[in-house]
Amino acid sequence: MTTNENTARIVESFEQAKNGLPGTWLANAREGAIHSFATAGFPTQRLESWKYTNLNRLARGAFDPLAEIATPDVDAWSGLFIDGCDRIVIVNGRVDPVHSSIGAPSDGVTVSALSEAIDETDPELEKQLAQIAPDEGAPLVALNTAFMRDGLVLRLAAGTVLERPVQVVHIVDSGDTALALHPRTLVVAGDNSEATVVETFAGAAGAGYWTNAVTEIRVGRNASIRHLKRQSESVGAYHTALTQVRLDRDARFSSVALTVGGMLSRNEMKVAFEGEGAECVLAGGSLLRGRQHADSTTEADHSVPHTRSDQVFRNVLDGNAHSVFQGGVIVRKEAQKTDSSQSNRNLLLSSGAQADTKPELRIFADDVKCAHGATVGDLDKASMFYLESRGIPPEQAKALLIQAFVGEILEDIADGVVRDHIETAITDWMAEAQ
Amino acid sequence: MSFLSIKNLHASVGGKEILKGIDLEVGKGEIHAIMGPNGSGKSTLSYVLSGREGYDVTEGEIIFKGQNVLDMEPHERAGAGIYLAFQYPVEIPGVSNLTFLKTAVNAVRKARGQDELDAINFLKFAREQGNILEMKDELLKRPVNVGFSGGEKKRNEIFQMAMLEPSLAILDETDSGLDIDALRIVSEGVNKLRSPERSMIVITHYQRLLDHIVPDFIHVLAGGKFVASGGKELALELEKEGYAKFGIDEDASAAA
Repeated sequence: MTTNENTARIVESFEQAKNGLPGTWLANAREGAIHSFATAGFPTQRLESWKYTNLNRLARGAFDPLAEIATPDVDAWSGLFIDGCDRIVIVNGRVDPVHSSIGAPSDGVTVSALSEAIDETDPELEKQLAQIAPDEGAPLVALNTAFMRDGLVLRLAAGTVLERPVQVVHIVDSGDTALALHPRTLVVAGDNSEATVVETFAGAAGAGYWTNAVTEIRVGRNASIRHLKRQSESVGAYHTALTQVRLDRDARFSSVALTVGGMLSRNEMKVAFEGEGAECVLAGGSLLRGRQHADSTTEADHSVPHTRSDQVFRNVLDGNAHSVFQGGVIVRKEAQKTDSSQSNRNLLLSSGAQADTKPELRIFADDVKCAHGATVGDLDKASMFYLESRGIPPEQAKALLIQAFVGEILEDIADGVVRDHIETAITDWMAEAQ
Repeated sequence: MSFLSIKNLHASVGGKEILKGIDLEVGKGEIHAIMGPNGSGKSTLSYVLSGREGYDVTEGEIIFKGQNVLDMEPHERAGAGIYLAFQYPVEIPGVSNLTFLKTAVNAVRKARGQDELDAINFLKFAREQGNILEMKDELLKRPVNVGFSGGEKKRNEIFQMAMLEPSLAILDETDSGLDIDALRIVSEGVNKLRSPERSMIVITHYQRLLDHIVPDFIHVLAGGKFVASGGKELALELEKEGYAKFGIDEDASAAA
């Protein structure tokens, strides 16, 4: 099947599916989105922002966006559940009410599965969903809008502080059916509110599958959202994701996104500064081996004065793995006193591994501070000898150094259980090497 | 059986011969000082003993407690009881001093057939040893050597030595770059670690260190060979008359 034929097949499957998708009020938006996807098609490497990531095989893949799979053994995945948090579990694209658990309701906080939220009439939701991350110029976002069925909706009224984290866990275990999943997360944080949101993706090898996720986050005045993402998909899976964040005045956003799974993945983080005094920290990284490919693409778009963005990305590559970092910073003419920094370091554990790193700074204001730096290197021999000379065997010394290298992206995670959730992915990755 | 026996040791770095036939016998509990000008091969000897990559032994042997050291990996040598205090301790960002030491202590304990220490006992042990060297608690929590002053780094080397309980400690220019207070703390620490069960090789450029750590024997290394050996009085001769007494042109050997 050619890419064009496959695009036509996807549009055809939308025609079959559309009446069964939740949220009748979304029907027009879905129609518009599939039209926009059909016109643009899959992104190709001719686009500068997709230069290093080739979606050809994905674009020809016959992934099924409709199949409803009998619920597999979800308990086998319970190690991914963070204790003591509100949790929505999505299995094969549909909410699993048995394993989802929402604690005692707090005033001003709504945590719900997307399918349930969009089946109700809710003018507030209509103003937010698919508005924070527009479909225009983003065919994969459009495709998600067309097919989105489930995910997480978190809304915080002004002044609410949610102490326990909210976790959405996506599990794919679909046997012989190669699924396409289009999950959507929406976080709307009112003025002065605070919360921690964790997105976890995992799956079984099976027939291979494609997760195409969109996360929309709006952070109100002086509000604070901490976002974490653990991508532990099956190594046979495709994972494409966009997180679009909009920050109002004095809002704070921090994100840590770790990739260990997926054969090919693309994690795109975009932050739009819409109010003065807003700040964000984007941290991320990947631990890859075999023929895995992981692309982290960012965009911090400063359009108002006095805002700050910091980007910290670390990749550890073994085998023939390939990492991509495209760090985007836009400082528009009005955005004086912008302070932005960017650092990408890559650790190559084998001669077959490859890291591409590209800072992309577009600066139109004249009174700003924009720093960037990138390195690619192997394990430091002097450090290895120092550790070994103290009796530490080479494998253990290597693990300590890798953990220290990638650990930099975890430094600011204050919540212990959330930190453990991300750290476990790192220790599991290293255990698999032995 | 001698404790440490080095016979006719030749070693090269990058194809260039640095050690040109070293013979050294160190008995149990003895302290040997090795003095010599820059470039004489002092640090090379310490790296060869601890097994650093790139230091190739071309001839000779090193036998430690009956074991052929040259057949052992660096971590195995540490397990067997060899410890090197580095001239330039390495900074390791992201690994706390405590995590590093706990891993190291338990690795050598395992190699020596001892039980591993649990978190509580390890911390107790670290506090005790840390007090001897006036190590601030804060230094234990910081990443290994990162942001340490020169003196703190050297103190950390001796602290690690106290934790790893070696039977042969090699101190590579532990005195260089230290002011007199730091030198006093470091050498007091070393003296507290002296024991009839522990031998030491103290490598230094200056006689000053040997006022604090008094050796049993002194060897003068020049051009990759020992040119003189004797008791501690040898250090005083060197102090008075310099290396020239041994036919060494210090500037020329430094350039070599």
